[in-house]
Amino acid sequence: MKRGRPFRKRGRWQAVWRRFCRNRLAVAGLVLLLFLIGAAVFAPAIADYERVIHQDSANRLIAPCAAYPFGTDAYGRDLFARVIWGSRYSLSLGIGSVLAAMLAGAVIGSAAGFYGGRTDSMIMRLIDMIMAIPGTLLAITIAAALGTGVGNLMIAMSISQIPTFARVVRSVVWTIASEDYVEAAKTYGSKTARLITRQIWPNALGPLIVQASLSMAQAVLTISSLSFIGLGIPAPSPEWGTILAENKSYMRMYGYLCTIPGFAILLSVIALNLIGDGLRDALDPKLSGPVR
Amino acid sequence: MSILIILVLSLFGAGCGSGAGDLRVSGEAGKDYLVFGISQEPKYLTAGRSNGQIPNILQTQMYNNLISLDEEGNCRPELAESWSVSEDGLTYTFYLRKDVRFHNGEPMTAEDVAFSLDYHAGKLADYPGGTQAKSFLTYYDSAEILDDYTVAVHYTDVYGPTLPCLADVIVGILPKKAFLEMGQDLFEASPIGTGPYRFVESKPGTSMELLANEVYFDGVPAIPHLIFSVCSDMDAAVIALESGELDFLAGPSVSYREIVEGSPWLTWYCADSPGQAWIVFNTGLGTDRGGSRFFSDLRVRQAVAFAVDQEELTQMATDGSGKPVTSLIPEGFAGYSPMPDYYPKDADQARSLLAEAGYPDGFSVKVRTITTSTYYKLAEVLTGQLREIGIDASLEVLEAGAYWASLMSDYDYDIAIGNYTATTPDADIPLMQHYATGAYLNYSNHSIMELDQVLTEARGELEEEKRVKLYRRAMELILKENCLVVPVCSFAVTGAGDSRLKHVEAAPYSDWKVYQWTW
Amino acid sequence: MLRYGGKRLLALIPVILGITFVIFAVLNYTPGDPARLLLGFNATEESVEALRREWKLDDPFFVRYVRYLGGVIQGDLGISWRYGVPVAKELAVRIPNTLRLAAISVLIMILIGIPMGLISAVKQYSLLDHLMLFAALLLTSLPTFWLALMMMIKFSLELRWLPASMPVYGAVTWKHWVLPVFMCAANLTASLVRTARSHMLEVIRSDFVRTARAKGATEFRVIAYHALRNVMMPVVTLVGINFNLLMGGTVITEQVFGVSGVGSLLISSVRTKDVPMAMGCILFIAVMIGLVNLAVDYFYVLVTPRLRSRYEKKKRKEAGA
Repeated sequence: MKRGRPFRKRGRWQAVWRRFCRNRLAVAGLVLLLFLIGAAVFAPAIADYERVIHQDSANRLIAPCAAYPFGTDAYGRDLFARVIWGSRYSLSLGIGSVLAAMLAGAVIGSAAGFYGGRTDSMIMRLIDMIMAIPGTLLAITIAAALGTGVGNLMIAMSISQIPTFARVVRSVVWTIASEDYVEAAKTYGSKTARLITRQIWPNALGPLIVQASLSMAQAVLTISSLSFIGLGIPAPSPEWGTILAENKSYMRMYGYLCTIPGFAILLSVIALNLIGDGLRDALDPKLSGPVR
Repeated sequence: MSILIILVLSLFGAGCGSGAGDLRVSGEAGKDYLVFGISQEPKYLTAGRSNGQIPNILQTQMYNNLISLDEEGNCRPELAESWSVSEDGLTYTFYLRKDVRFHNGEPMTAEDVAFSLDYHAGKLADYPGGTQAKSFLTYYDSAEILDDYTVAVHYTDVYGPTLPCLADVIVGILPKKAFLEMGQDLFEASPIGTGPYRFVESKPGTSMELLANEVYFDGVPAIPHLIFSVCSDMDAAVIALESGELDFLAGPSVSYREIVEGSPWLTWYCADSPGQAWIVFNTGLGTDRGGSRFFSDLRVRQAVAFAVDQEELTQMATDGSGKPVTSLIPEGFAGYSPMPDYYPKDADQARSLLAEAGYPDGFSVKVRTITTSTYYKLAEVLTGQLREIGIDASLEVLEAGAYWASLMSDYDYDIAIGNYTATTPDADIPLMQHYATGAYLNYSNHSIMELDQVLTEARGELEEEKRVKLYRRAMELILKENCLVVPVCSFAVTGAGDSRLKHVEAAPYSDWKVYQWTW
Repeated sequence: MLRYGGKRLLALIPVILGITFVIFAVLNYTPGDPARLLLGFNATEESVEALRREWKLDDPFFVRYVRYLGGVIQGDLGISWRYGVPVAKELAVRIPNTLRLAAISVLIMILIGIPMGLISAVKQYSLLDHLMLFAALLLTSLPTFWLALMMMIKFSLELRWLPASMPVYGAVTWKHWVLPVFMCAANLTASLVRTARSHMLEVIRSDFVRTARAKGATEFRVIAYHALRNVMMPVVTLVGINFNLLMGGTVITEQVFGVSGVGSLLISSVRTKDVPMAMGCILFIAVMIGLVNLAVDYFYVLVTPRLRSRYEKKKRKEAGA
């Protein structure tokens, strides 16, 4: 297992970055994501929030034009402003819930893998338990229990994703825990916490980042489908899935109302997937380049 | 693979493409069944046990009333050929048809009528709760069987809309013998009535199958097989209607009007319904439960009333199919009179009232709603209008159960949407059920003595002019003096169906009379 | 190995106990009295009380939970509060539909997803590879409910090839299953293509494949025998992990296409607080996911010599301790 060998950290990440940059698709994904994140960050500068929620019965269902680049919805709201501000909700929920799950998963997974034995099997049973409830289902029950909203959705999404990360970290721990240098560190009496943070996490970081970017893609999709069945973020908050769901009965006559938020979801998920792929390839140099 | 990609890409164009083409398979005319799409399944199929638009559709097909109402609101014979009212107005005698049989072959007699009324009103020892039809049997005392086909119904007090109430779809007549043999739960599993269609089978959450009643006294329905399909996604249901998988769909969103009217194969049906929507406040007025932190103050309620632009709200929440209302009694109902708009749109006055109440900068509040579009859309537009006067409103979407609990028993909400469709054209029903102290639909959490007195007096008053005056006073108390609710709009009942269906009439009470339809 | 399977099967029990407990608690502690909800708000206190007594709702939470479990152990899932029919009977109607949807989707994932991924890897950087990757990326990234509506409009309305919903009258044909299965499987199949491709690339470049090639094995033999065997393992693991996503997906698919399955039943039961019915659905879904993951783990241990030896070693260690 070459992956587990100790390395000069900076050198390795520089190499990863160089390989990532050679992958045109991955770079395109990164640019796209940065563009979307930029839209989210600078949303207040691009469009006043007032335009997101301001209703105007005189300007309902206007097709995209100069004044309304994305048109207006059935409430006469500016779809452009809604989609731009929607990136704040969709991306922060997608990215935020995964980051939270990643952190929790890393702690749980390394504890399970490192201590092994009873701790491991207990934690893994708990993880199995969460895994046996589909995320959509967990979110439905949590929404039914606590009501819909950004916070509750975040909790539901994070909990349902912890298992994936815990498993990834645990498997990394398994592979490297038996490596000589870790055994050595153990015998020299290194503190467990130090061992985990210094030796295990850096090694787990690669697979974690790859998993995270792919999970974020999945999370953005799941959130939008929760909104579809009315358990996502309630209007008038402009989450992309909510925009899509509340316009779907107009979709036949005013296709742009669904196509535009749909594309926003599509683009952000594609970007995250491309980045994930690119990172995976870059972390594992064996994968790129022609077969010899 | 590339074919797949082309297909995927062409999907993006799908939303806008017209491509009507030949949607219907030809040579299908004169089929012997009809698939009727409904948005949810009724809770119960037994007459009277559930109330609302969807239960009405089912009960219309399966049961009959003693009498019915025509379009002008006049009583017409149904199971009763004729009737008479005693001079004191306390006893109604019905002379029944002798040729009516239940779906199980038993003849329908005075016994069944007396039993059904007792059952609905909660006079049976085994079923003391009665049914939802109970609120349509106000002052009901007992039913006396004079002979096999004559029944005298006794009331304890004079009640204006007694006859229209008996004509309400919900007061269906049930077979005594079969019901008592089976008991309520078993009867619910295979309900029996006298109506044009008899129950065959129900698949929970999926469909209900009915067959034409071969011995229906008013003529056997032309379409032998009637299947109700529960459509959990109404947008998908419209597509199924267009592709011919559904023959009729009740309650499609008005946004589909253009599509349905533009299709040569479909017809759009729309009728003004007596259904109304209001903005309701948790006032806590005169009750010991306490109301909303904000809306127990009259000035804040009035501020909201001034902030609301009914025209705009109606236009956006109903896609132009609804009509703004100012009266709490639907037009055409007994006791109706037009009311002035006490709070026309006036943002400045709204803001100054808010300031007076101690909220010069407004406040943050959650508007409670459920996902049903008649509630949700209205709530969503309302948040926008409240924002204009500085109230930072956002939606709080609850599951239906939790929502109704918060409006009817827990009273832990601030502001929400109320919505009601009266199926009996009389002012007493909507007003008494919502505004009397302790009424079960008392959403606004109030108790006003004068209002109770006026309402009680009005329901016993037989002279129309005096009744109208009393109801005007009641509405002044509700709308002007206490601002318990802000009336917003009336709704339209919609339907869309295969154009080859004949004799379909838009049904304001959503009582689609399928037995009159033919292919 | 058999012992391993038995042990894992036993380990399912606490998992399922945990899930049922959590869901039971959530359904019990959320606002809204189920008896009141069913009877309507103008029902009298007495009739609501009577129903509460009938359902034994006034007993303490733990008593009810233990009673429910007791019933389940004896094979009694209870009576639906909403419909008054035995939960087991209704599930028996629904489960075949959900199973069919899930099974065909998994089959499509394996039979279409894996070969496509392999071909794509073998022909890396060819036009075919690019096209396939592009399609897979698109399908992985599309919100399925949006895709489903688009497909309905395209295939049911414009092309008139396929029906848009399950029929309530007349026979269900294969055509009715095409769109639901597509919606259910599209996302996961596409992601499987991508995973299979990258794993295959890894294997193709590995030493033993290079060795096999050097020894003069035909290209077909290299791919079919050496590479495929090694790529199956991580890919099947992914199928297992994704089964959970698939079950979540069936919930939405069933809702959109009117498939009378466990998922749509679950949503409506949670919404109407039909506790016995909702618990029955959850139980089914949890057991399904548990069994599939068990099967995958079993497969994993069985196929991978490395893990098997590790497991044996662990067992020896345990025996020694």
